[in-house]
Amino acid sequence: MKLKMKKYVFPRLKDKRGGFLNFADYRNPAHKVGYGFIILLLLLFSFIALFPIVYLVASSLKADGEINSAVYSFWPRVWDWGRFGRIWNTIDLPRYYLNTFIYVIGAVVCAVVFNSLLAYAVAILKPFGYKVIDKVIFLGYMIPATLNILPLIREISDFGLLANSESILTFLPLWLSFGANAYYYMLFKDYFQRLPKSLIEAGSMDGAGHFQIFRRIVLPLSKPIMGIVAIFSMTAAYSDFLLPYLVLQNEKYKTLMVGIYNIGSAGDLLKPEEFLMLLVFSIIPQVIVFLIFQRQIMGAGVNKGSKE
Amino acid sequence: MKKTSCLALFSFGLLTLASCGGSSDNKIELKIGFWPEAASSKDVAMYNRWKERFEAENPEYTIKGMPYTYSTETVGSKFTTGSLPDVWQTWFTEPEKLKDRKIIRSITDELQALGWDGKMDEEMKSTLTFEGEIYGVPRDGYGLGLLINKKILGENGLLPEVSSGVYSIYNKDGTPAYPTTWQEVYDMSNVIVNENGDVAKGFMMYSANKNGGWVFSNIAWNFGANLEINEGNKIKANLASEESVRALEWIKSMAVDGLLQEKVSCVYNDWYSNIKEKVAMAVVGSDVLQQAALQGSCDMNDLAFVPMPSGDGTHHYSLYGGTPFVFTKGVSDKKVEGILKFFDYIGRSPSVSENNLLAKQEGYEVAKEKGQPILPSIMPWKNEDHVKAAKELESRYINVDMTDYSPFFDSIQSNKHAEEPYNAQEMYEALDTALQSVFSYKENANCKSLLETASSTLQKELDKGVNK
Amino acid sequence: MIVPLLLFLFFVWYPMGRNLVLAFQDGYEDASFVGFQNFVDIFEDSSFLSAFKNTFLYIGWSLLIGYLVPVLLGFLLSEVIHAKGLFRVILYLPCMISGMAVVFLFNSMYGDGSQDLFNVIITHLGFQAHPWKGSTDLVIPLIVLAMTWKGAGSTALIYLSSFQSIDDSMYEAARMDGASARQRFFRITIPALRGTLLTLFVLQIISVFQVFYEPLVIGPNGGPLNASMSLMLLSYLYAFNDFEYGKSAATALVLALIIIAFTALYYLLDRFLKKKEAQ
Repeated sequence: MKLKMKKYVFPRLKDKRGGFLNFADYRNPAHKVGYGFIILLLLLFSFIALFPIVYLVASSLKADGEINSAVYSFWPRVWDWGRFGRIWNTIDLPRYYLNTFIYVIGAVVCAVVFNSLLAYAVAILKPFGYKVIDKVIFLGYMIPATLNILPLIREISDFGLLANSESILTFLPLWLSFGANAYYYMLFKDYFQRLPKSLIEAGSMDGAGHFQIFRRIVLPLSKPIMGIVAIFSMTAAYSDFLLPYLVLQNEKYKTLMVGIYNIGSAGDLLKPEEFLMLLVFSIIPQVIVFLIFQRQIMGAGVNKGSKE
Repeated sequence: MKKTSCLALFSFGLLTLASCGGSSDNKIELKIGFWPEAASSKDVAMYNRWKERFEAENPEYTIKGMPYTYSTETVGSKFTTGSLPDVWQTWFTEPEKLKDRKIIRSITDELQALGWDGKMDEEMKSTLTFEGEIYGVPRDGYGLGLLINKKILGENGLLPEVSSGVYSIYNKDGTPAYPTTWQEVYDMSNVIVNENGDVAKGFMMYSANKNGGWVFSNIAWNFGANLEINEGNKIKANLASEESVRALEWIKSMAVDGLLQEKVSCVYNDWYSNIKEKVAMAVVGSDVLQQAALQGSCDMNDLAFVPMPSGDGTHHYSLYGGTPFVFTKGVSDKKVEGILKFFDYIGRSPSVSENNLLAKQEGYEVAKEKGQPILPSIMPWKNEDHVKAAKELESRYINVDMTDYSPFFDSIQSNKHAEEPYNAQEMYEALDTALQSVFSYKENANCKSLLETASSTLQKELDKGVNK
Repeated sequence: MIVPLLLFLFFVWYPMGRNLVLAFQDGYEDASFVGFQNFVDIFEDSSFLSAFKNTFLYIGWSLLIGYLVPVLLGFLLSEVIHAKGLFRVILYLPCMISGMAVVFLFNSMYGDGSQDLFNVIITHLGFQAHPWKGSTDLVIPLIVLAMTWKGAGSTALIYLSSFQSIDDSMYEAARMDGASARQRFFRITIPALRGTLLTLFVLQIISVFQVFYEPLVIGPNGGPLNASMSLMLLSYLYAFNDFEYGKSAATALVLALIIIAFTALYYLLDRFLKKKEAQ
């Protein structure tokens, strides 16, 4: 692929060919005003989108005690940049980041591997009873998992999966929980069903086994959907709180979200402005990931709705 | 596919790397839940010293730090999954519920064997005793008092000025200039807010997470209320008596006249961030005063701590209790014995042993190093030798000028009043609802009927439990 | 295929079934069946009744705020020709922030104190300070606002792609016929969007049922006066705060039934519309 630097051309309304309003409409001055409104509204919404983030960062940089002051100022009177370094050290953020990373990697692997296998089986192999399986999985999609958290955590414990608190195996139930996600399964199934049948039939003519077909034919064609599930499960695992909170017993394996909750609920470990700084730290990796993968992430977002 | 298999390999590699180690011998492991979080490194270092000392002298035990911050969300699931530590710290409000749910065990026999049951402060013991069994060891005691921002009161002309910007809580003739009745709290708040138009509010009243009911019960006592009546065979909820209605009416007048911190759902911890500039007075427990400096960035010399004001002119009761250490149900007697022994190494036992006093001293040193204000504590043990030694040690470390704190600490022993003995949590919850209604509906709130509702809610709980 | 099925069994179906049984029992271990007692109990509990009522308030507000904003955003993005990429990135950014951080962040902005952000703004504009999250009338709209802030960007992108997939020639033909912008909007744009609108309508409702952390933190605990209590949160509080496992499971079952009812309604509606189209 050749990378081409495109020279920025300021777009003009009279060149707008497609869409609801095009160049023909914009000959009418009333529609030009309408376009002004479009820009104005977008600026307004952008402001709303950014404002809370700016508020968070600004508040987290206020000097000690300013947040308790009776006279409010949006911007800090003194910008306390040193707080970044202080929180980094006192909270041991590298450890939280590392644990979160371990969790996210395992979750993404499980989400992609297990859900795609099941979806492949249901969508293409169609074994006995596949329709029932599909329906029951859909039921699991509608009913929020949090509702059943209590039986789940007891079951995890009964299977002895909480006993590994000293090793990294403590993440095992969390990883595996991503292997049973009805939503990811439905995304895969939907995608597999839309694959051309002829390709798969050709595969079975060649005498390839089910697994070989899956590996040689289906997988290479499924990169886009795998990317989407990977991105979704990455964000979900990063933000996941309740199950990790209940499962991770050992201090040294707690993830960032669990840490935030523990510190927030302890109440006296951090000052309010320091806690806001911790929230800033929790956002930074997500923003970095977003800026790097923005096209893929926003592409995945579009797919979210068109699955039905 | 390549990428996924690489990732899978990678994670399995991590697994095998991590799953080595883990030797086991015949020592009894004591899982300590009140271990400090890793974030407070100085405390962790201190606890590790205590652990070493203990293990050297008690080779049959090993100590394992397992920091657990109590929360109602986790305790149930952690218990049923066997992942609670053996001993942990909870809120003063929780033992009754935890006992009912069979999450904590009685340690009466172990305490009796050591003679500690007789040394425990009576009020604190009563909040940990149910049906004759003791369910915990108090860490330290607290009493509720009125925390005052002298600067706000002084700048509004409500306290005499000694020198520029320094205010005294006493008048020239030695009588208190600080409020001693709730009416005075109202009057002073009115001057601050309505006459002078100060940005600060007069008082803060909690109303959520059961904190409102907790403080309200104390205020009501001081209006002369008696919230639960023991009729011999039956406990009667009595939240809607004339006296407690008067207490709620007082809060309502504060709310209607705009004298309270505005939050409708105000929780206890909110005082940290409000007492510096936003509110002049708040009800606070004596055990967390240092948070004014640590969390609220206050100068301790700008504050004063005085007994709870009176509503009926006679009572100055101070709700009094302790933060307890409790023991998970199913923990063996042998372990409990070990943990109680460990208390001697962390400065929490009633003894005057060298270890106990040394650990106390180290605790003070670390607090001093961290720049914490050190105030008197309310001792959970009342045996004289211990109290004397501990007070002597404490006096060497107190680093706050006590002039403005002594009104509270000098009178706490005569003002103390244990919390209501039955279903206190449900009572607080019901009272929270009444308070939130007052804050939401202001002048339209009907105090009498709100309290009647609360009373009948409590009665239902009592009839389900003790009255059965 | 067997392994993933086992995972579903372990993580989804067994807990779900266990909860179903629990709804008719009086405890977790050594429990006995108590018939519909748990349901009788919850329907006598004022918290449950508030939560039940709030469920519909949540739906109403989220349709009012949360449902329409993304449609508008999608439309704006599809029509704008200046800095389109930048607008997209900015509007999507909130979606990347984890729910926990969003809840704590909005909680801090919604404070009732005169020095909390919202009150500072309105007193600056000359209005009286006002309780925000402490107001029984405002707490649900405020929670929905926070959810919308976090979610609108990604939903807007879905609408954006729907808007863009409308064939330009259809607009062109309508222009030829002299249709005004308004007529084009209602005759072409809306019908073309129908499928997406309907799907997202149901997804919106299902996601609103899951509201949980927001009232837990912002309420707090579903407050003030249960005004923000949701069935999900109540089920959780029953289980983990009160250890009333039976009541928790019964609440969960009621919630599940409501969700299933809505989904069924969606399918019926969808089928009906398709049939009508076919005619």
